[in-house]
Parts: sequence; structure tokens; C-alpha cells
Amino acid sequence: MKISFTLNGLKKTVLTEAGENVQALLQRLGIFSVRDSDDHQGFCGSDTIIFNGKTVNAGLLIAAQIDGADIKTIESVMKDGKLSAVQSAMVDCGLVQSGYNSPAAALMLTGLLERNPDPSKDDIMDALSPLFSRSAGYQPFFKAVDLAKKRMKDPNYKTEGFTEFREDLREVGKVRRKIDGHQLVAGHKAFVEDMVEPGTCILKMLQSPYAHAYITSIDTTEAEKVPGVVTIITHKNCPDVYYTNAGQGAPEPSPHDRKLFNQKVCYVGDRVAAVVAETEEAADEALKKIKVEYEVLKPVFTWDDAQAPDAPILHKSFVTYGVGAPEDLDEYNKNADPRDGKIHYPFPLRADPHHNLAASVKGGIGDVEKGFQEADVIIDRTFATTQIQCTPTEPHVVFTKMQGDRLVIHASTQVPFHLRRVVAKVLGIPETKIHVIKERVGGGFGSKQDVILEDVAAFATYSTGRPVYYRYTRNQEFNTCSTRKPMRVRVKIGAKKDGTFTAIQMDNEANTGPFGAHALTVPMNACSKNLPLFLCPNMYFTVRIYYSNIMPTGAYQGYGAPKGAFALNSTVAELAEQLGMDQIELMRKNMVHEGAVLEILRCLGEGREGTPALVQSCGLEKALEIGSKMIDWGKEEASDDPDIKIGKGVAIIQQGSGLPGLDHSNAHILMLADGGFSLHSGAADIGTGLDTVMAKVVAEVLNVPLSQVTVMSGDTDHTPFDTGAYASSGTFFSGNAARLAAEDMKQKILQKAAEYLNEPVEDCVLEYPAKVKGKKGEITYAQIAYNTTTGHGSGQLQGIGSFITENHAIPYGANFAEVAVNTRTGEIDVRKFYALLDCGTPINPELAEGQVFGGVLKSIGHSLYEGIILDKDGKPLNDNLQDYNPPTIYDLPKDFQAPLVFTKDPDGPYGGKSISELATNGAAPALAIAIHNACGVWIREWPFTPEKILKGLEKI
Amino acid sequence: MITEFLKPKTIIEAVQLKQATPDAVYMAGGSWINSSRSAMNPETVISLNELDLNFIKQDQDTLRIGAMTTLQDILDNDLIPDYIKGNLKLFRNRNIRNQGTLAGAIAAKNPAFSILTVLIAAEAQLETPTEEISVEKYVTSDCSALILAIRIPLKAAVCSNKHSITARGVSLVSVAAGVFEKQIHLVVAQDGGKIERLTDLEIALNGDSLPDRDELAEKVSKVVASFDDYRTSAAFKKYIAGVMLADCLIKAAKGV
Ligand SMILES: Cc1cc2nc3c(=O)[nH]c(=O)nc-3n(C[C@H](O)[C@H](O)[C@H](O)COP(=O)(O)OP(=O)(O)OC[C@H]3O[C@@H](n4cnc5c(N)ncnc54)[C@H](O)[C@@H]3O)c2cc1C
Ligand code: FES
Repeated sequence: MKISFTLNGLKKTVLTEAGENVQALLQRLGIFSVRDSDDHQGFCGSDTIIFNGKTVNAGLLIAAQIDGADIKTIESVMKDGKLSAVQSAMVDCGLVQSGYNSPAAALMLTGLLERNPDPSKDDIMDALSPLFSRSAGYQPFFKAVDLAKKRMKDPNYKTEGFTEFREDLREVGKVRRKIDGHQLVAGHKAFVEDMVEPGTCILKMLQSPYAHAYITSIDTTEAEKVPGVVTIITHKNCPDVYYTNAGQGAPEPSPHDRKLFNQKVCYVGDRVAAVVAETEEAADEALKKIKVEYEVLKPVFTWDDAQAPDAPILHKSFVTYGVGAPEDLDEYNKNADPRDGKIHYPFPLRADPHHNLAASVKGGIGDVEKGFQEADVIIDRTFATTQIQCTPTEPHVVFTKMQGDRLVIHASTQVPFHLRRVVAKVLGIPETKIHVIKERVGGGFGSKQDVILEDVAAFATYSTGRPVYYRYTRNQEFNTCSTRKPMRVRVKIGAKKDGTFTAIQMDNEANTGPFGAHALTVPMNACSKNLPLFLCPNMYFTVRIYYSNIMPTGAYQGYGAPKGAFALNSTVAELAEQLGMDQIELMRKNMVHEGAVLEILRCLGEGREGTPALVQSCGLEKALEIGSKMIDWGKEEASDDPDIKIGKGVAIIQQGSGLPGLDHSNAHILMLADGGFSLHSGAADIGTGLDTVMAKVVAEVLNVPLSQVTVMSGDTDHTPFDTGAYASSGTFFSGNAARLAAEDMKQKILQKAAEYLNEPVEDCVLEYPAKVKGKKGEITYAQIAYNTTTGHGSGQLQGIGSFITENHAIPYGANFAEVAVNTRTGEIDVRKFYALLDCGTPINPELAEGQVFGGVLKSIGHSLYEGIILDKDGKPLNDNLQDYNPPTIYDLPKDFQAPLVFTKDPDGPYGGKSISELATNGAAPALAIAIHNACGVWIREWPFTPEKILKGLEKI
Repeated sequence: MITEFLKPKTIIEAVQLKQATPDAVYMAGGSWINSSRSAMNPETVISLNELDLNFIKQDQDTLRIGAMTTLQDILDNDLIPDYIKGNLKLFRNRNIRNQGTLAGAIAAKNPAFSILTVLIAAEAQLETPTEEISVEKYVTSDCSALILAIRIPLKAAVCSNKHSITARGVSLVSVAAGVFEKQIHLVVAQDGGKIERLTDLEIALNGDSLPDRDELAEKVSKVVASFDDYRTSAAFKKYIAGVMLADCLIKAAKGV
């Protein structure tokens, strides 16, 4: 049918089907800003448009409904390409991080301010009620609305309400506009889906209906005959290459236990066959025509069942080792079943796959048995956490195409270089034949650290020559992605009567699901990011990770740290109660401080020998001091309502700043013709503002304004190697590489200037903006650039930086919570949450604050509401956002603050340490402790539901 | 996929189109029909957009809300009584309130749409082309008549609440209590279950002064039938329905 409507003030007439979805239609018309995050369910609001004057979800409209209507999208609010007051306020308040649905949020607020120029907090929540966003935790929206109101009157109104740091510096520590903020909030082309070219084939996956089964036969003959089908890939015609999809540095501390397609399916949703077709309809029809027969096996879902003597085994595989093969390997392999394929260990992970053990490790310092004997009090508790979905608003997506004989991968990834390596391995081609372009990433949170779908799309393109687009549905995000590993953590602490710890033991079990991606390292982090919080001479840990038929797991922001933090802090709080001591006093007595040496890290290297770390900066004490005052620690709060009990909780936390001895970042900088700089870094900015961090560091070193630095990052053809965005490495590793490149450039500028000024180098200094001053004269960078690049020039100035380290720049923090528990309904109301985090110098203070709000709200969600639940056959029951229950703006703590605690770290770039992962570690324990303080119930399993409270109170 | 979009100009035409194509569905805002959550997937829809059904009118002690009036327009209208607004405010999604209509919510008959319990407790009536029918009867029968308007009492002592996991989560248990000239109405709806009046308990409670809240809660819990699902146990749902409904009834009895 033909419909006519007004789009952003212009009349449009289009040919369409009556039922074409309006979100898809608008994208077809080139309006990229109207995005889909939930398969048109109505949960995310990423597709918000203004329809006859009101905001609605375009995904809930069909074309016939907009005939004659007036439609406005974000493009309508911008004049001459300039950001509106709302848009600029959103960027400047740190809200535009991954940015996938920032245009939608901007439209909601634009509508609000048109209706009501002076909205209350409730009005703002109401306006943003349709939005689901994870990166900045909603809280900064209140500041942004205030700023937008002021900017509507005075477009030059300065950003306010953020603490800035380092008076001695010009750009670092200051609020500056995020360098990709404009592009994202304006809804410009930015994401993989925007890069797809006409004529691209669609990839669709046939997924296993069984949690555990052998494919006994698969017949694709009829499916291949469907017109438009290009190829069908199954375990029969895929490369015989085993790999891990974990995006980790090679050799990975994860077993290579999968091929593109396996004969054995190991979870409901596992890959069975990929159909590549010219149209979606052809792909759907072909999927129906693939005939598969299965031999169904008994599944196993829990760590207890997985380690039972008669447990079904997922990988009775033929095992090989890169180094360190055990002597009895031949004997071991006699039990292998060829249908289970192979597992290759680059190095030993103390695994026993024939008993479902994916990896294990143990270690410690001192003598814990002796420590426990010396204790006056011993406490021993066990905690469990659930399987958590990362829920990025942009689902996993990839676009692959051939360019000559090279494969180009447009990816939404945290690890462009690992992605290139893994794909090269699977395809059996050199890395020179692959170009990975990391586009803007609409949320990663760890799940885009792994090669989730790029491998199969790459193979499809490489083997057919055809461009291929593969985008997960939201449903696939839930049933065939990467999730937080469920864990069970037992903590045992021995202490003297005065509170001195004599021994700490942590026993960890994790469920890795069907494959061992991050199997060893995630659960190890429960120990390595928590035990060093305390200085105890006797510590011991065990970690055992089991295979099972739950959906795959991998990395998630915080890695294993939030689970260990939950267990350790909760146990310390219980111990304080037993000792009759204040929890903070007990923590202070034992906790780490500046100058301490963390011996325990010697046995907690990730897949290698670790090294003890010297703590060079530590904001713990300061965080506890400020937080205690803010929350009035120790004061009992009474409620007017006898049903409501109020309680407070606190937790101390730490993370790392990348992996010393393992991570590696490189950067390359060029001087441009006008004396500006172009930084090329392999780093992957996934929305956190890493490109802005690097630009600021370069501007600072080279004495130029931020506008004089441009950043190209995460492109394997045009930037040097970087391990990628994970393990909180961005600011510390990539930021330091950028700093080193800029310092190299600085030396070269000084040398050239000295030559042109005819003065000794020692007499020359850089001066803001963009010039070199000698004792006698001065020269601008522009002049140097001109001189070096003329026909007689000595060559464009180029600086390189490469950063590795054995030093740890550990970020610390304390989280305080106040909850009101309704003892009649079990409801938990988070009245106050104060997250005080020490990231050294906050290089982007407004973005750091947003990261903290986002991280904390995510973990409030994990603690109170979320968790994937499987039915008895292993199918996820809450496999969509509405039923999965992530928090939205109405679930914010009533009083939510995130003051940044400044410390001086000698190793970070201008003292910067990491922040975002740290933010996810403290909510679970702070809330659990506050709940207990309120109503006397200890909850030791996520999520803390009203039902568990009522059971604890023996009301049901 | 919807392939046919019919646009009747009159109510009679709409009804005739439905008779001629029984598989066709009426479309008001389309927020539920088009949502992947409803899994409706009709091929033909009969749009109600060109019927003149977008109004809110007072008729003595009753308000008439036209079937095409959106939930947001209802919320923004000064005539609408607080017992309706209070419940609509618990539906925390302005975009869907801007698109969805009250008639659409009723006709969807989904126990998770908490506004239904309020309408039943308030004895709201529906105008259809052939008859006037109570909301209760409409949603608990297989009636699918075209709704033209909803009639709600302006002054009603009705109080409602819901339990969901997050503020914007699915209403797992919704309750409403109404008191009319000492006649008590108690309504409970459970997602995945049904919408029901607790008639026996209403009769048992009528005439007497109300027991205290805990006893009342226990009485409600006892008569509510429930079921375990992956989110909550039956025991929890029975308990929470009891607590919420007891509080609502006590408030309603006080005239809210
Ligand atoms: C993600 C999501 C969350 C929601 N959350 C809530 C919530 O928290 N609380 C709540 O109360 N509701 C909730 N709803 C439901 C919402 O109220 C309905 O979607 C909306 O009111 C339906 O109105 P509509 O006009 O869009 O109906 P449509 O989508 O047009 O139609 C819905 C149904 O009603 C029928 N119909 C429509 N109008 C008529 C009529 N006049 N006569 C006869 N039949 C008719 C249609 O045939 C269809 O079966 C939610 C919906 C979605 C999509
Ligand atoms: S309905 Fe499309 S993003 Fe929610």
C-alpha cells in the first residue's frame, strides 16, 4: 500500500506493506536513530518517536497506522547540525556512554520540557519511564534536565554540578564533551547495523531444542533448494578447528573445547545449522526444512549434579596439551568418545573434563590450619549467586564482507585484535587477510569480550564470498549468548577476640555451562579481587569450575569479584556481630592500606605465576570516612510505620586496572599539517569514554586544546595492537600507551624545534597552546608540521608508545546502603546508596560518575531482581527483558550518590586508575548487610526477594 | 504479518466488517496487537481510528470514556477520579500509555493489566453496539463485542495495588477493593492465572464490621487459589494478595 505522512516536517509518500513495522520502515528510510532493542516488545523505548505530538515506540506501530500522521525523530530537534539544549546537556552530564538509545532519551526529555518547562523529579521519571538503559544508571538525567533548562535560555550555559580534579592540569580531570558524544546523541551512523550494505545476506541459526544430545543425522538437501539460500553450515562442513570463544590474550587460560558447530549439542539454543540466504523469508523457510535427528542425553544443570559420581558428561573428549601434558594422558584418552570431539589446553588448567571439571586451582599463603587454631572465633558461611544476562541495548551483531581477497568484519566488540586472531585460526588464514573494524558499541558489559557470532558470519562470508549480516534477536541474547557464571562461595574466617584475623579461607565453585570460556579466571577473581582487601598472614583458596548444560557463560563487568565481595563482606559483617564489634572497626583493623605488600597475589596470577603487589595508592580509609558521615553510620533510624524497619550496610571493594604482566597496549601518534595530532590506538572504547581519556592525556602531554587531538581506535588495519576493553585495563593500559606515544612525540617536537630555532634542546619547552619556546625564539607546531612535511622536510613527526607493567594500580571503594524493609510485605526499599570509589585521578569525572551509577544499579538489579531461570529441560523461562526484570528509572535508590575519592597513583596516566568494573562489586553485600541490620534476616543467595524476606521472618 | 488494514467510517461498518471477517481483530492504539509480547499476529485488522470514540464526558454520576481515549489522556484529564489515576500511575511506561487505550486493555483480558481489577471493583460498565455489559462479565466471558465506551462511577470508594518484581515489571498479583453502600467488592488477578471476584468472602464480610487487617489478610489468602511459577511460589502470591487486599479494603471502607 501507499502511505503518506510528514517526517520531520517533510511530506513523505512510501510504498509499504500495511503491517510493516514502523521502526524498521524508518530505518529503511535512512533514519538510523530509531533503534530496536527488544524485538518490538515495548520494554526499551530505543525506538521512541514523536507521533502526532506524543512519544510512542515506533516498534509498536505498523505502517498503516502512520498514514496521514506527523512523525518526528531526533533529527527534528537539531538546527544546522547543532545539538539541542537537551542533547548537549545529556552529553555533558555523562549520559551518552554506549549511546544506542540516547536519541530516544533525548526525544523523551524534549517532549517533557515542551509540556512542562519546570519538571519535578517525578515528572522526569515519568518522561523517561519507557527507557531501558544500563550504562549510566539514569541518575545523571536529573542533572541533565536542570542543565538543559538553563541552556534553553542561554545556549552557552556551562556544565555544573561535577567536582573537577587536578588543578595543575588543563584537560585531565575536567568536564569536557565526550568526543563521540555528538555523533551518538544526534543519532548519526555509528553502529554495525548502520554499516550494512544493500544486497547483504541474512544469517539465521537453527538452534537445539535439547540441552544435551548427539546429532545423529542432519539433512539439509530440501533446505538448500529454497530459492535464495546461499549456504548452510553444519558440523559436517565446518572447519575442524577447536578454539575458545573467550576474548583473552593468547595462550588463553580457557580450554579450546568447541568448533563452529559440534556434533554434540550442549544447551537449549546451541548451534545446529546456520542458514545464509538472500532474504529473511528464504532463511526462515530453509530453517524449517532442515531435518535433524537427535539422540537425547540426560542433561546436568548444577554444580552438585555435575560432580556427582554418575553425572552425565558433557565433554568425553580427546584431550591434547600445548605444554605440560600429564603423563597418563594416553590412558585418559582411552575413555574419549569421538562424537564429543576434542579439547586442547594451551597449558594445564587442572581440568578433568571426563568428570565435568573444566578447570581448578588452589593456593594460599601462610598456614590456615594454624591460623584457625589460633582463632578465638571462627565463622563459616556459604553464599550463592545466579546466572545473569548482560542485557546490552544493542544486541550482538556483525556484518562481514569480502574486499578483494580480504575479509572485513564490522564488529560490536570489546576485543578487535583477539577477534581477528580467533577468526584467522578458525578460517585457517593469515591475520593479514582480515580487517576488523570496531564500530561504536551499544553496550558490552563483558558479553562482547567473547566471539559470540562473528566466527560463523566470518566463515559464511569467507566460504561464499557473500556479505553477511547476523544480528541476535533479544531472545537469542537470552538463550545463546554469554552470561555471568553462577557461583557458590564458602568463606571461613578465624579471628582473635580483638578482631584480628588469623585465617581466611575461600572455597569457590562455579558453573561454566557448556564451554569453558573464562572458566578459570572469572571464579579466580572472586579471590584475587577480594582476599587482598585484608592483610591476614594465613589465607587459602580453592576454585573448581564445572561444565553443565545451562546456556553459555563468560565475562561480565566485575568478572568474579562481585560474588566474592558478596560472600566475604557478608561474612565479615556476621563476624563483627559475633565479636560484638562495629563492622567498620573490624574492617579497619584488618584492611589493606597504602604501602602494604599483597603477598596473596603471588598465587593468583591468571594462568601464570603471579607477583606480590605493592599498594601505591588506596582510598579505602577516605571512602569509609566520608561514607560513614554521609549515612550517619551507627545511628539507628526509626520509622513511623511499625511494619517498616530501617537498616544500614557497608562493603569494601577493589578491582584491578588491567592484568599486569599479561595485558599490552600500543599507540601511535601523528602530527597533522596544522599542528594538531591524530592518535591511533588499538583500544576499544565501548562507550565508557576511553577515546576521550586518551585524547585528554595526549592534549595534556602536548600542551594543546582537546580539539586539537583526534582519535582513531579499535581498527586492526589502522591501529596498533591492544589487548582490548576488559579486566578494567582501558584507562591504565591504553591510557598509558597514549601517554607514552605523546611523550615520544614531545621529544621529537622538542628536537625539531631546537633544530629550527637553532637552540639547544635543553633550552626548549612546550608551551600552551601548541608551540615551543626556546630562550631566544619560539615556533608553533603548525610551523614545525609545515617544515617537516615539505619537499625538503625530514618527515612527518610520529610518536609511538607501548605499555606493559608489573605494577598494579588497584582501585578501591566503599559502598553504603540504607534500606527500609517492610516486614509485612517483604518489600525492600533502597532509600540511600552511596558509592565512594577511588579511581585515582578521575580523568573524565562526569563519565566516571555515570559509570559508577550504571555499575551500581546493575548490581542492585542482580542482587534484588534478576537471574536467568531454566525449566527442568534447560530452557530459559524469562528469556526476554520484561520477564527478566532489569531495573529502570523507578528502581533507583531514592538518594543515590557517587562521590569520587581522589588518590595519587604513581603508575596510572596522570594518576588514573580503573572504575567501571569496581562499581559492580559492592551493592550485593551492602544491601544484604543492610537488610539484616533492618530485619534480622541474612539472605545468602541472589536475588534478595520479598519472598525470601518473608520466609526468613517466618511469615510464609 | 498484518496484510489488510480496514478503516471503517461508522460503527455499523466496523461491526459488519468483523462479521464478514471473523478472524479480523479490532485495532485501537495497537500497542498490544503489535507488541511481540502479545503474539497475536492477525492478518486483518479493523482500525477504530476513524470512529469518533475519543472523548471523556460526564453523565451525572458517571464518566463515559470513549474507546479510543488513550491511557495518558485519561490520566491527564481532571474529570477522572483518583482511584483510576492511582492505578494508571502504577503502569510506568508513558510511551505505551500514549498509545494504548483503556478499551484495548479491557479487550485484551490480560490478568497482568492491573487496571482491570479496579474497573471490576468499581462496577464499571461497557457500552457495545448491542448492549451494556459489565467489565467483569466482558473479561471473564468469551465476549469480544466492539467496545464503544467505558462507564465508570465518579464517586466510588475503590482502592487498588499490585505486586511486581521491579517497579515496571509485570504485575504478578493485582488487587482492588471497592465498597458501595456497604456492598464489598474484592478482585484479585494473577499473571498466568485468572481475574476473579472473591464472591464468597464478599458475602461473608458484608454487613459485619471488618476484622483487623491481619485477620482480613488471612481470610483473603485462604480463599485465593494460586500456583507456583518460576518467579514466586503459590504461598507467596496467596499471602501478598491477602496483605494487599486487606489494606485496600480497609482504606476503601474508610471512603479512601
Ligand atoms: C510492554 C507492555 C507493558 C504493559 N504494561 C501494562 C501494565 O503495567 N499495566 C496495564 O494495565 N497494562 C499494561 N499494558 C497493556 C496496555 O494497557 C495495553 O497494551 C493497551 O492498553 C492496549 O490498548 P490498545 O489501544 O493499544 O489496544 P490494541 O493493541 O489496539 O488492542 C488490544 C486488544 O483489544 C482489542 N480491542 C481494542 N479496542 C477494542 C474495542 N474498542 N473493542 C473491542 N476490542 C478492542 C484488540 O482486538 C486486541 O485484542 C502493557 C502493554 C505492553 C505492550
Ligand atoms: S518496542 Fe522497540 S525498543 Fe522497545
